[in-house]
Amino acid sequence: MEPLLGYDPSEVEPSREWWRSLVHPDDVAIKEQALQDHLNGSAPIYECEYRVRSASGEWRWILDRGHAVTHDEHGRPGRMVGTDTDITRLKHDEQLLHGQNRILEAIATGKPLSDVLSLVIELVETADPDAIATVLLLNPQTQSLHGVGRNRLPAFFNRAIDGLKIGPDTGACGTAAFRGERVVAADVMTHDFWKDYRNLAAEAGIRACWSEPVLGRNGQVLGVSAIYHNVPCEPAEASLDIIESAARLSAIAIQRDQITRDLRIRDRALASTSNGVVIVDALQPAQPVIYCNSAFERITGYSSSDVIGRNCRFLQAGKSDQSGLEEVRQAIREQRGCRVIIKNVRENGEPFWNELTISPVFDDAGQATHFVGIQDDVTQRLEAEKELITSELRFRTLVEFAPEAVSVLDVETMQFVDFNQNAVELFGVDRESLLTMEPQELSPEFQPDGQSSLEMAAEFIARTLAGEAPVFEWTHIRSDGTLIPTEVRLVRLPSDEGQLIRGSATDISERKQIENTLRQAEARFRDLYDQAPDMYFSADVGSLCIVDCNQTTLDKLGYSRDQIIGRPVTELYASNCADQVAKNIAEFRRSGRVDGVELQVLHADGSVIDVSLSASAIRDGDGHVVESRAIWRDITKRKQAERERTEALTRFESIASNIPDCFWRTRVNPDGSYQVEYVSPAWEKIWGYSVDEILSNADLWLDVVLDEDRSVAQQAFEAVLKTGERQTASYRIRTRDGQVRWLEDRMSAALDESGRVILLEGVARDVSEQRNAEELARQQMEQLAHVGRLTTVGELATGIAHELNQPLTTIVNTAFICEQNLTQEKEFSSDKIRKSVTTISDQAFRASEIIRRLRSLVKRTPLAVSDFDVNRAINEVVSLIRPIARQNVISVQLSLNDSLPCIRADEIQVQQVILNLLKNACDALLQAQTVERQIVVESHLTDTNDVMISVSDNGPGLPGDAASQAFEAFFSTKDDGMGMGLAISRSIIETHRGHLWTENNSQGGATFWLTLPVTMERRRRA
Amino acid sequence: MSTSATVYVVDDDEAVRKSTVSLVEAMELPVRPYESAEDFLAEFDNNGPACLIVDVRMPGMSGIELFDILTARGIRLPVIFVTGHSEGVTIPGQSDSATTWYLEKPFHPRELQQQVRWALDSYLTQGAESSLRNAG
Repeated sequence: MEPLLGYDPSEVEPSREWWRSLVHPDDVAIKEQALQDHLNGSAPIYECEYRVRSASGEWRWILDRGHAVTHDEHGRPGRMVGTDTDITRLKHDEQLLHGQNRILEAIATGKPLSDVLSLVIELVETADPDAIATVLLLNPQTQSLHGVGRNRLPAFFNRAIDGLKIGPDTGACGTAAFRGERVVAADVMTHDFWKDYRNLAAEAGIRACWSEPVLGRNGQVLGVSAIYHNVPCEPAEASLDIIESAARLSAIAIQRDQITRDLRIRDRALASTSNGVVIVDALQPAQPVIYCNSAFERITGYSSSDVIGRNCRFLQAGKSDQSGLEEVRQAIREQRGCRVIIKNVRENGEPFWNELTISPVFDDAGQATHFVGIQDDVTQRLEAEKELITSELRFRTLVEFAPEAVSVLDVETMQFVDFNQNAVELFGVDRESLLTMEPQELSPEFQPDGQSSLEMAAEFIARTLAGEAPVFEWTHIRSDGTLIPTEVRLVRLPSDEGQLIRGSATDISERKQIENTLRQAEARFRDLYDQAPDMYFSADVGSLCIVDCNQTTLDKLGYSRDQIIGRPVTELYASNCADQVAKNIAEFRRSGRVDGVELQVLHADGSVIDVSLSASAIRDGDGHVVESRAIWRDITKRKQAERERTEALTRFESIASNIPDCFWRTRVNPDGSYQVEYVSPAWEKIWGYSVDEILSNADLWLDVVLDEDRSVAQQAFEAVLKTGERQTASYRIRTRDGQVRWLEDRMSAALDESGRVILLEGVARDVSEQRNAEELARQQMEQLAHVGRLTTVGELATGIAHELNQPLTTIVNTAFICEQNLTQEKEFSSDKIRKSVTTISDQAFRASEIIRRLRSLVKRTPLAVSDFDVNRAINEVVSLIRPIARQNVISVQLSLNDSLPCIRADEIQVQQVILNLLKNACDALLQAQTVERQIVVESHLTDTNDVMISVSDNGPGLPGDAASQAFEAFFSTKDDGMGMGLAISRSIIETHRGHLWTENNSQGGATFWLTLPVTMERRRRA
Repeated sequence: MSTSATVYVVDDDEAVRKSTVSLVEAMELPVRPYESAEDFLAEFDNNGPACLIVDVRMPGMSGIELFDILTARGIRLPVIFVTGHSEGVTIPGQSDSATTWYLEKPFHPRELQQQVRWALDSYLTQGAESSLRNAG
């Protein structure tokens, strides 16, 4: 062991205590602890590294290993054997390595350069405890050296060499830095480079200095690393290793520091730039973002943690079809830069315009490892540009097309200083002349409202100068003297030279004209509105309150405007149309229209006014009905007329239905066709066809006219149709049941305003009776002629008188002869006398008969009309005839309808007729050879509501054409008949609007029929 | 009065005719009744004094027509017209050749007998006057 430390064996004391005294005080505890651990059995061997002082005074590192070889009875170790190994060199290298690691670690962890360089100095001095180490940095700009890190040189020395300019002979350090190679000054006192610094070195106690340049990656000098000794000495090999090592470490630290500083600057630059910056890893397939700056975060709204690791596509937010993006993709594929403007979307969804610049970052092999993307939010710029373009365009348009005449007036001189082309055109004066004109020359002396132009202009100018920008109407005057209404704006111009006012005048002649027209139109409309014959009003759709109305409304309803405005329109309607009003309102709200609904409104005095309501909707922008414009047309007169017309029509129809004449109305269509619109009920009575039949078939009218009369009827009809003039046609028709009737049809036409015939109306009267009577009269006249041309009723009476005188004459004659014979007492057989008396009585009877008949004839007028029961009348008459009938073995049977209505007629006359018929029947039966003489009297009700009475006998019937002649005057089949009975009977019945006729019946006898209308009285009156 | 004078009675009414005939027979004058004027004309031969009682109003030829025919023929025959009613009938007055009388029914039988006598007288008178006039 001793040789190991260089001790002379004589100096060595073989005791533990001596050994322990050599151990470095810092290591004693470690050594003791290790020994204790072994001795107490917790460590199998004893092993410990510690420093001991060598004989030369150096500390040397010993590896002390051993183990116990003997133990006492308690098992405790006794003697130990072991080895000591000098591990100083190993430890030295280890320390160096350890120091280097610490330095690298400090560099890696970004410790400040001065700290790192202090560690370098420490390392050197650890390796060579006698040395003093320093590191100097070269400032490339000043080419001077500056100390960095803590060293053990005296402060004055450090201060003296700080900022040392490098050069070919400026000390070891300056020269080494200058030359870029090591400079060893084994004795500074003799070394040339130190000649300027010997005093300083002496003062600092420095004798040797070794300087090693610190070289960068490209061989540039970064600084120097120097080792000083206080004795002249050459560096040993180990020292050189240390110096080189220190220089290398310094170089790393300095370069790293420079890079860090650069990075920090760039970081700050990136952080402080307004452009967004991202760095994308181009080598990873997804090309994720590996960096983004705060501006990027600000622009996009994404935080860096959102962004890092993702592809930049998320900014597109679906807008991936932009042409700019394709350019970006292509640039990335081709590993080149590009600049595009694309639309991106911020995190909050807001789009923005991104001016994107992409640059690739290449590695040494030329492979793009990264792309740097720079985002510039140009949204505002683009919008501003757009806005600018728009406003420029607008401005240009305004200027180019503005009809304004612009002038600039210098208020101080009251001279114009500029005009535009429009002003030239407005005033009709060229620009040069305008500029020489006084302002008042461009206006008439007075404005239309009578004010002085000069005074008003002064006022407006004053207001403008005070900062207002007045806009007003102003009448200018052209060079040709015409006045131009204009709208003028004045504005004070910012100007250094005096007070300028810019005036822009717009020709508003047209507008004025339109305004005037509108005003007139409005006034006209207002007049029309107020003076319209109809009531106009507006009502709010919600509240139904009247918002406005015209004067007519007020006048017609008798309200003042205040009374009616704001009043619900529903209150103005008559209460009986409340339902209809409610319906209208609903309909109006649905469809927005009401057309011509007839209602009643109330006058203020409570009277009712018929109105026709029409309303239309005023809608708001959304199409909701908000107001109604409505018109009430006063139709009171029309309604009154309608009511009167309806009443008249009703009256007419009720009259028409009760008279035997048939009223008809035929509508004529424009195409010439026509249809029957109305026929009175008499149609059915006369024609026998139903009303429906003629209404549905107008041709029926002509179809039933007899062939020989049809042309007459048709011509009359067409004449009315063509000329509109009244026509009367007489024609015959065949009724449904085959009867022929004579009609007299009076036709007239109704024309429309154009003169076209639109209606044909007429009255058709059944004149069959009249015609028949005429015919009868004609026949009677012929009949009467053969008995003495008796053509008048008076002569008829004469005839009757004659008839009466015959029996009277006979009676008188016979009686006279009889009397004479008796008086003269001539032979006058009783037989002869009896014969004469019989003659007299016969003739007297005959005379009385004639008188009775005559009385009947005389009694024909006036009629004593009353209501009576036909059956009772028949019974009375039959009771009169029964004695005669019984005498003549004639049975009289009655077959009477019990439900007959009373008829209104002259009862005595009717009874006379029946009696006459019964008498006739008796007479006929007396002439007959019939075994069972029988008379049947029947009463019926016909389907035309007539009472029908028949008297039938089973006598011989009427011979040949006697049936048709039976009713002729003086016709008689009886020996003693005068032929008056039936003629008078028929006359009586026909006076009652009835009929009397006869025909032979199936028993061979004759049946006499008579009908009497039940409604005779009403008919007569009609 | 010559008994040979004949009285013709023309009346369509049988009862009147018969009673008239009886009246004339009572005057013991020959009577010839006829139902109609036509019958009378067919039989009348105008030989000897006669008179005619005729009804004015008859079916067929009236009494007046008969008179007109007789007058037209120049037959001198007194005529007694008998009528039921005078109104409207003009009884012909005296003609040159014949005298006419007029009776309204009912007449008194004496009146008829009187007129018959007058008629026959007139026939004779007229005949004498006529003879005288002719002689004259």
